[in-house]
Amino acid sequence: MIKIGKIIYKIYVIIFHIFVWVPMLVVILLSFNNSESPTLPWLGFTTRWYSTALQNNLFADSLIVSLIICFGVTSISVIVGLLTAMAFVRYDFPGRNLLRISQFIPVVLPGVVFGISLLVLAYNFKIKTGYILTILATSTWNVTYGTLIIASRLEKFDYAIEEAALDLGANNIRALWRVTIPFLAPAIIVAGLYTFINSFNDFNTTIFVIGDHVTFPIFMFSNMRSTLTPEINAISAMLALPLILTGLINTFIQRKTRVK
Amino acid sequence: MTLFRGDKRRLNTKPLFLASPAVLILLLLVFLPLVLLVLFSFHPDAPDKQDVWTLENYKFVFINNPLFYKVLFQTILISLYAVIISLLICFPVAYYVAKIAREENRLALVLLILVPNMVSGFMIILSWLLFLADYGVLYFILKYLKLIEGPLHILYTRGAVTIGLVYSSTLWMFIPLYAVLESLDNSLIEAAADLGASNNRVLLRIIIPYSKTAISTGCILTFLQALSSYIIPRFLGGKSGLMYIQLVFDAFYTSYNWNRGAVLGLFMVVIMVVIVFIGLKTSGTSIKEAMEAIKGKEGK
Repeated sequence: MIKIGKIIYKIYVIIFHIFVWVPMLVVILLSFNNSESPTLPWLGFTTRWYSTALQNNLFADSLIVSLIICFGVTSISVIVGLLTAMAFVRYDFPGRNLLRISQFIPVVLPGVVFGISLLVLAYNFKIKTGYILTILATSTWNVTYGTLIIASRLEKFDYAIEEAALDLGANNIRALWRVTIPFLAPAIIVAGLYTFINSFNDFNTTIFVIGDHVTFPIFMFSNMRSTLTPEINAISAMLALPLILTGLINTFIQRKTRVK
Repeated sequence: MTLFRGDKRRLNTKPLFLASPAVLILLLLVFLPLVLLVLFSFHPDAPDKQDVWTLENYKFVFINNPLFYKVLFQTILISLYAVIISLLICFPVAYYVAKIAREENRLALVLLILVPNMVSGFMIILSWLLFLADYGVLYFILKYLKLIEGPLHILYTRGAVTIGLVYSSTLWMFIPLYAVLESLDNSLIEAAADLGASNNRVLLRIIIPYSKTAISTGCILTFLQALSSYIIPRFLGGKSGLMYIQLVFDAFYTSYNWNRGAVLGLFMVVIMVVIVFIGLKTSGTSIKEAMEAIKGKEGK
């Protein structure tokens, strides 16, 4: 009796793991279907939707717009995250806890509500919507992620190493640059990759502050509102691979460099 | 003495300098816009009358708008379904991966769950769209198995939205649960079993109380996620699966009713605060414990 229960339990866990992958496999499978619309029945294998996708200039343009925003957001999030993490871990200062809690506000605030509030800000102060506003807006919650990731590693930093460097005659900047930053490097990379993926995928806030530019998610949004063709499957499939690889690399760096 | 070791008794300007970019970002890009949104909600819906103060927008949203309460109720209902289903689905899996699976397989099993969450949300929605459509993939599978005759009617219903929300919340529910279950000491379970406790008793008296914080954190995160997700109801819900966030979005994006949209958006924040409060109170979790559980997610 107990044995049967255990087997059912195991099958359930296996089904769950398959279920998680079904959506992606459906999209990828249908991208190779030689049909005018992304559905079954199977009408034969083709890669023509991939060549149409690669010739689609709107797709390429949206990628460039998204990448520009990602680089902006990632740089701000890592640099500001690093500074904030140092303030949090190494000092006690007035408002420290308030800042810690406030940093969660942009994380939990719904993207749409945040987007409309920024639109009102832009309207009130006649700020132009576009790249700069989008980068700043998307940075708000990514700075929080950057801070959390870098702070969790900085907490495990052994001060004796930094002091040794200072005793041996390194000045402050040099000790920071040669000892502390290398120690933090894995966390900085992880924070960078994480915020990069996160800003790449943002739609809810970006749509309100980007103006006339079209990022990749906005490109997907407008395509999915019109008649679907397997081209959109091909585009999704092509982007899934680099995103998954980035995510995997990120996870492995975190695992490998974990300080006990 | 060293560069960063501040004397904790004396006010040090260095941390204030270090934290100032983060503070500036929060003040200018989060707090200021929210304050402006509040002010904006008290102005009439006309660009030339932005110095007039009025309660018209609130009246319109809360009194003259039957759709508002219908959508609000439906949103809370769908989100609750999503949270409960997600918890019931994820808890056994998290327990299996954390406690029963062999240690060398754990990372692979966790990654198998994490990876599909790394792709764009649009890909996930596209796939559910294609999977659940009236003549979609599921229809062909079921027809092949001779289980149905006519087209499916799942897409553009509440059910489709719930499925989409459950799927996309897996990560938020699974990770806190997995993290806490992994930290549960096996000998505690064994001791209880040795002392004669049945499996159910071990579950109810040890495992669930131990993971209480993670359960409530996972539920709150999933609920917030369900409330704030726009594209899932937009593409899977149609007219019958309308969610509250779509009202906010459309007020700004489609109908240009900005001032009313501000009221709708602010009320959404109120709902979320209430839900976080109820969630924390009913489970007896403090904000600090919840934040630690979220940090567990970032650290993984």
